[in-house]
Amino acid sequence: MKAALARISNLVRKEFTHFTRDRLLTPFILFGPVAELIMIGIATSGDIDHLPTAIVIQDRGERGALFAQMVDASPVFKVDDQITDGDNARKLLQDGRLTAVFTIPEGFSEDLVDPLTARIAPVGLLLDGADIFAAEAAKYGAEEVVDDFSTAVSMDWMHEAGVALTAIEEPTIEVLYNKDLKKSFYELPAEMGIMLYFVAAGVASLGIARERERGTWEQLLVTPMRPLEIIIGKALPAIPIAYAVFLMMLAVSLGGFGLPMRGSWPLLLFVVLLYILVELSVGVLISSFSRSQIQAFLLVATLMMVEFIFSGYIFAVDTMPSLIQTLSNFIPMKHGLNMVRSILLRGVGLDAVGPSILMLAALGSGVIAVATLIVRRRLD
Amino acid sequence: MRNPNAIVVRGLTKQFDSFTAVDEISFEIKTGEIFGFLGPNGAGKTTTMRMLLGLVKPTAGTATVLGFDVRRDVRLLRARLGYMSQRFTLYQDLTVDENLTFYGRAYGLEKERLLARKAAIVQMAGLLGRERTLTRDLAGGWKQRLALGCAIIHEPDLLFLDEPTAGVDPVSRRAFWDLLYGLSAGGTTVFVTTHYMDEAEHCHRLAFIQNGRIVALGSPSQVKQTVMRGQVLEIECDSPDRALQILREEKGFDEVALYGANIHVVAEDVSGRIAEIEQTLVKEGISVRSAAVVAPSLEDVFISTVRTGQID
Amino acid sequence: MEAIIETNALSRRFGKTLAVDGLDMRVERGEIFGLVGPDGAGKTTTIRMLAGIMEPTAGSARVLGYDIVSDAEAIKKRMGYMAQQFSLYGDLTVAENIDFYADIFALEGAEREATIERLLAFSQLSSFTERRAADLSGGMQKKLALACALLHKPAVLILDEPTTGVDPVSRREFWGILTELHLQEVTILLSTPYMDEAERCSRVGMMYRGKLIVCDTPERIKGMVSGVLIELRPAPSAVDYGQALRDVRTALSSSNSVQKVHIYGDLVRVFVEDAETGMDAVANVLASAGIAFTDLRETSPRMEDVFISLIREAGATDPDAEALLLANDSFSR
Repeated sequence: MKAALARISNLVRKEFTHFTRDRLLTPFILFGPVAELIMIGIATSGDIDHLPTAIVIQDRGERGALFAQMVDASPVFKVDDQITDGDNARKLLQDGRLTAVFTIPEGFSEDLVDPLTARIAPVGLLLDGADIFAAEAAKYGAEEVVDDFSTAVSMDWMHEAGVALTAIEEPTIEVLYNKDLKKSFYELPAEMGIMLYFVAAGVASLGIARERERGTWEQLLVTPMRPLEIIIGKALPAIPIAYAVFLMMLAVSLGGFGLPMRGSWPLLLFVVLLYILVELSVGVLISSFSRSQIQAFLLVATLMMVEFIFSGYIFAVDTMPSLIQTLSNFIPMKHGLNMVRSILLRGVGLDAVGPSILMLAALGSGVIAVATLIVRRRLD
Repeated sequence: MRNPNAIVVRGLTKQFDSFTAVDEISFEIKTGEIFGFLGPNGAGKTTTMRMLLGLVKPTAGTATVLGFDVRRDVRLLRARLGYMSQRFTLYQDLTVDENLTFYGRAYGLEKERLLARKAAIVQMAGLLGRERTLTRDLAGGWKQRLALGCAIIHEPDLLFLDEPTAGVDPVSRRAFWDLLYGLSAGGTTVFVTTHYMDEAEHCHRLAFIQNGRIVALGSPSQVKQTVMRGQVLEIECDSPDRALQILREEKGFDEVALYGANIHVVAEDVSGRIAEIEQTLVKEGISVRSAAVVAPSLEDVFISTVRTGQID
Repeated sequence: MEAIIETNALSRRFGKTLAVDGLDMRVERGEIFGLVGPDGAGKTTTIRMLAGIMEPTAGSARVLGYDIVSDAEAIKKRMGYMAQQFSLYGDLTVAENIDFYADIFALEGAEREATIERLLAFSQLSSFTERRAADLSGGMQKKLALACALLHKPAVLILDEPTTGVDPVSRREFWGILTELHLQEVTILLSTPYMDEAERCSRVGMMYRGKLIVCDTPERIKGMVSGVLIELRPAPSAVDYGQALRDVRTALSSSNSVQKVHIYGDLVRVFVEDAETGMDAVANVLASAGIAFTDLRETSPRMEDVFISLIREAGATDPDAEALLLANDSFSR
């Protein structure tokens, strides 16, 4: 046992030496993730507004003009007064130059003159669905404008009818955990999870592939080192490296982008360690197939996309067939991302993340077992 | 109790799908011997070595290394074997000392013993003062000796060398073989593959392997006497190129080839045809400085076996 | 007469390393010129510069009268080049590889067919046209590469270690092909680590650590070695022949009449001042040591002897013990 540990630490020391001497890959692995995180943070920190909009007014009355004014006043829309023709506007939307086109039809104001004879006045809204985020923001913005307009019209009617009013209270929407609905609060934890995967799986996978590529693998196999020792020795360095990168990313997120940390620190650090261990095992498994470093890297990158898609983070898993929903529980990234986000934003405790922890532990053991079997057989 | 035989191989075979890389070979290697394995690329040398190292499982046959069965007891063997492979399996971005330390520790050496062995190897390899040099900055001969050093740092009983002198300058090659002799004299058995025929002469015994089969086995002198078909006539003349062409047109010679700047003509009873050959050349305006039967070199023997192998 | 290849202080530096250091060399028409030296000597770098695929960092060179930097393309059209590694397509067949290169050289019609057929026969590949290049033996791959380099009937062939890593039989066959080309008056520049191949070149350039130590015909190079060479064999009856060789060497090293001793294959070769006195001295020493020997005779030095002798003269301080030679030699690349 002591001998085995000595051999493993020998290999770990060598791996660190390689790592510190690599002028190309090492800076990339250490600083790439943080750089990318900063970019994502900046990109998602703002709100989506000032969407290019056109209003086609076919109505000739006061109320139509009021509606147009309210659209113009909304920060979500940036109205181009020059565009007034419907066909032109439609074409510009098609070309991607406009995100939203409002059409206020003829007779709009007349429909709204008398509350007793009023009909539902239709306002046409054309949205560019190809840009989902902008379209959604436009939709919400339009709904807000409609609400405000309806309130304004109702108050006018009341006023004309001589009814005294107090202001109507709108139902309050309280947004928990992310008051300003900042996208960055959603994106940053995800990005951290993905980068952790890359560093953990990447470093672990390159280790074995590098030996194979250089031809030193055979020499290693001939020594008394056991296959499991070699795997451990090659995978171990990924842990402190991934952890260091995580801490850097966390510092930037908390300090630079105001991401809150509402949960328990020990729990967060433990959960991240577990996640790193699991994705590291995935890296080892990938390495056992790879004949070269490039091959290992490509496999790691491809798997990243798969894990991310089925993690449920961007694409709602609940809308997928139930089989896929079940499968997504076997994706380590799903558990990793959810746990990190929950602890950071919701401040949950062990009871909430417990099932995920168990699942990760199970997945990790399974992957390591398979990797060990393959590497042993592949001595041939 | 020392085993007289370091390695015993019987009917060893390795098949990859439809391709038989090693085809029922049998031989022994005596303890303390330098045993050479010669053959063209793809003949089965590396595969055989890998089977003896326990890296590849044989398809059939047996191999006993240092008394252990290579199929079952490989793990027990590892600590007593040394291996140096073709591509100088050193870590180029580590220093001399780091490479030695890594391999030393990999074999369980520690503290005083590790330090002592490292010092001995640095001395042997002529690397005194260069311990901190990055391996990739060493010239060829030093790298080669460092690789050897890493392979013997744990003082193995049996050393496997796969083409250890490929591309290395002549001085270093000779120094290297001196080191091997030293090891052999100390009781280490050496199993080496090589392309260099002149180095093959340095082995105590050797085997020619071709298409997975052993076509010659014995000491260099034995092999030359028993295996060589025909006699070797060495001709020294001017315009060896033209002489080569002319003699190739003649019938009845097993082999006509350039050997150094001379020509070797091989035939069953070539000594009786010397006058005739000289005349043929002189007629074409080539002056012959000497033409005499010489003892065959290993290269002559090797080519001869390959040729007869092809005919068979 | 203008040389086919001519270099002028040709140099190439990689970072801190001077891989080729001020080469002055000429290759004359119709020669087989051998660039000889071990790994790291600078042969491949030199060849790549002459082939126009790598630029020198200092100095200049001309091939067929064209400057290697400004007229590299003109050189490539008239030169056949064979790289050290296998640079053809492993997953294409022999025929497909040749067709590919024939297309590159714009060969057409009946002449194309005839040329390809001739070259396949020449390289003994006619019956292997449908085999994938990766499935050929090392020797055959080299022959294929040579055939592709000959398609456009180049005036000069530049070959980088064409016989390295190839078995002895293939080596001989390859040299058979080179000999024929030589007789057809194709100028050939080749590099090789094999000293015995240097013997059969028209002229030889020996390289070591980037420098050209000597450049001349084999005869004149051998003449540069001081002393006379005699060789002998231990009696074949010796129980341990290898040990006998070393015993002879040990015994003779201590003799004053002996300049240098070393083992070469199954021979012991001795440098002495004078053949007759030398042979007597050797016989005496061995007799007193009780070592039986045979085949004692004067012989001419081989290229390897010369090489070692020249690099010693170039840098060593203690030529006697080879181990000391190595330890004292400054070796930073």
